[in-house]
Amino acid sequence: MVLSYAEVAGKSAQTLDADVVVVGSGAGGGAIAAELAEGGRSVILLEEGGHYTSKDFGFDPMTMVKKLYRNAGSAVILGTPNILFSEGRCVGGSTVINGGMSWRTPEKILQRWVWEDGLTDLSPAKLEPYFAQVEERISVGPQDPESVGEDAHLMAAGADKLGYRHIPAMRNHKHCAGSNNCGFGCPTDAKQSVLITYVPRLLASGGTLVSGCRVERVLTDGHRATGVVARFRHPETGARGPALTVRAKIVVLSCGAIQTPALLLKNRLANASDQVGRNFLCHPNGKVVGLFDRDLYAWKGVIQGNQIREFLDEGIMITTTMVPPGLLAMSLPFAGARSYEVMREYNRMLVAGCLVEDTSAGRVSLDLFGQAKMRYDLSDRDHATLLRGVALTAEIMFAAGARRVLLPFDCLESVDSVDDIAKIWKQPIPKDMVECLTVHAMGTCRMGVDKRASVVDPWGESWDVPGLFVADASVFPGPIGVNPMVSIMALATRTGRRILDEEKRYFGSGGNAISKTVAGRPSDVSRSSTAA
Amino acid sequence: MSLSRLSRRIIRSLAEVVLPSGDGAPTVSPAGVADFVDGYMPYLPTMLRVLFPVGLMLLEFGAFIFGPSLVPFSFMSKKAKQRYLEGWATARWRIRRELWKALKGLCLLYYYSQPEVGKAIGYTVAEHVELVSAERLRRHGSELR
Repeated sequence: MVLSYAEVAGKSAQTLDADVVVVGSGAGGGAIAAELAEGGRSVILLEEGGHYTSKDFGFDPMTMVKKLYRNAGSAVILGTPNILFSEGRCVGGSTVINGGMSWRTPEKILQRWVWEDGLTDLSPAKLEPYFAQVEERISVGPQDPESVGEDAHLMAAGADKLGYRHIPAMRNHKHCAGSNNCGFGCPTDAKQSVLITYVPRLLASGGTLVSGCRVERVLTDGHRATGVVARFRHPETGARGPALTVRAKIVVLSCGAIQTPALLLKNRLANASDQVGRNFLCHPNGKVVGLFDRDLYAWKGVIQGNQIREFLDEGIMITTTMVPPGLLAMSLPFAGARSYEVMREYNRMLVAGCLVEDTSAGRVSLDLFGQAKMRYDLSDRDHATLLRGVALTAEIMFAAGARRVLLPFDCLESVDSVDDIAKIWKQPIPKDMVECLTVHAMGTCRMGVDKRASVVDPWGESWDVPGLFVADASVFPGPIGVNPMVSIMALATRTGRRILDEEKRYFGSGGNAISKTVAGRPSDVSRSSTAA
Repeated sequence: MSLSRLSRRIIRSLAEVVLPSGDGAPTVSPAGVADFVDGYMPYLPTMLRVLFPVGLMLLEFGAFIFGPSLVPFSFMSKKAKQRYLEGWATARWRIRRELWKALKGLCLLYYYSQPEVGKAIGYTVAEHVELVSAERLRRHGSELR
């Protein structure tokens, strides 16, 4: 069943019952909702944003950011420097608007979680079946060669000249056409976002999807989670609709690493450790633009065709990421005639980003209006890493033939040769002169083995409120250094499987959850979970 | 309409300087920017929605404080506006630089999202998507059905 604001506007308050209510339909929410529904549980999936399909996706940034992005893409993480932050707010969440990067959590990160955080069940071997299931569900594979753009080829050539290791991007797609419109929804449905993978699976298993419905309260009986109270709102105008109460035995929060802690803080829930909202990590990115002497048409090809992994151990990952002219121009330090002088060379531009695996930690809290407020200050170490990442990206661009490279620094707009790159260190570039952005938020309801230092247990369940789970990037104990979608989905699937395996505990109905698994789920996942 | 008349006037004045013009750049009406920003306001987080008009007032009357003028921004000549905004872009006080970036960004997002501007710089995305979608079906159609 599918329910939206349009169907209930003008009606009275509604009440629904289910075994499980999942709040948020992104990578975590979609995966766990489908897992539980396919395991035989009645599931209601609530999404604050609208339910759009590829027919609604277009090319005009001004229209699409309003439909698909939280706050129309205007969120800012306050700190030094301020960091622009974007996340999806629609059925499918950020998987609808991301670049489709599909990487498993690097082994070195999982080992760290095992050794340093004591999360022994998160070893590469134990997570393998979950990763495998997710990759099968969302069709992870390399890009077809014909849709890899000239920008990716050039970056690979530059990296080759310098001896830097690069690998083809792994993406969730079925023969991606290379439309380079990932950020505004895939117009061909080639990208296998939650919208066209897990949501249909949920619906096919009898689950319910409710869109245009924002959760305001998490209900408890004083001990256990018992449901949520939400309010229908028009996803674009914000017009109020009726209230919706969902009574459920299990509540799963999958609103992302900013909205999940905000909801918990607002409800004063699950925070005996005082860790909700802390440990906020965000993979700060620096954007670098190369100008070449010939037309590249970098927008005619997939948004991220490869990644330069040479510096992953230093916490730096580099990739191409072409964006439409409107979004690019607004982030460049030019206006008026100078802006057009640069932007008329749009077809000769190559845009790349360097992502930093951060060691800084910020905090999500509530502002005066009860809305999420993000605070994050770049540490000295991460600042140095970011400068190095920008320098390496510029070096690769010059090796690829760039004649000029635009840098994300207020006090050093560009460099004209590889020798000029040294200016990055010769003149001080203070943190508040660095232009940063990010699309990865993590860590704000961290998973752990010590209830005094974490928000959820190693299975994603709140230490304080039984029956309340978190299934999104909030649970990451630390940064992962790569795009987090597959990691989120794998951990959410694992949490879903745990709930099914502990049926008697959570639903009081006894029985063997494994016997209820539906055809199509890899048998090794069942075995692994049974063992767990 | 959520922006006051004064706010709209300030945005129009800003757009007159920020939007590219001449030297082959397509001309786009600054009034459209004010409409766009007005439509964008309801989506902002409440805190930003509250602070946005305050920021515009700071820009309008900042010349009294930051100098060098006793004329409000929207009444300055185009050249004076350019000089005044350069001061904002390079200001030591970070809030001024951030406000300038945000306002400039909105103007340029509007400008470069106009179809005639996209065409002028050779960005014809709709045609590209049509072409590659057809090619995808030609190559892989049987597998995708």
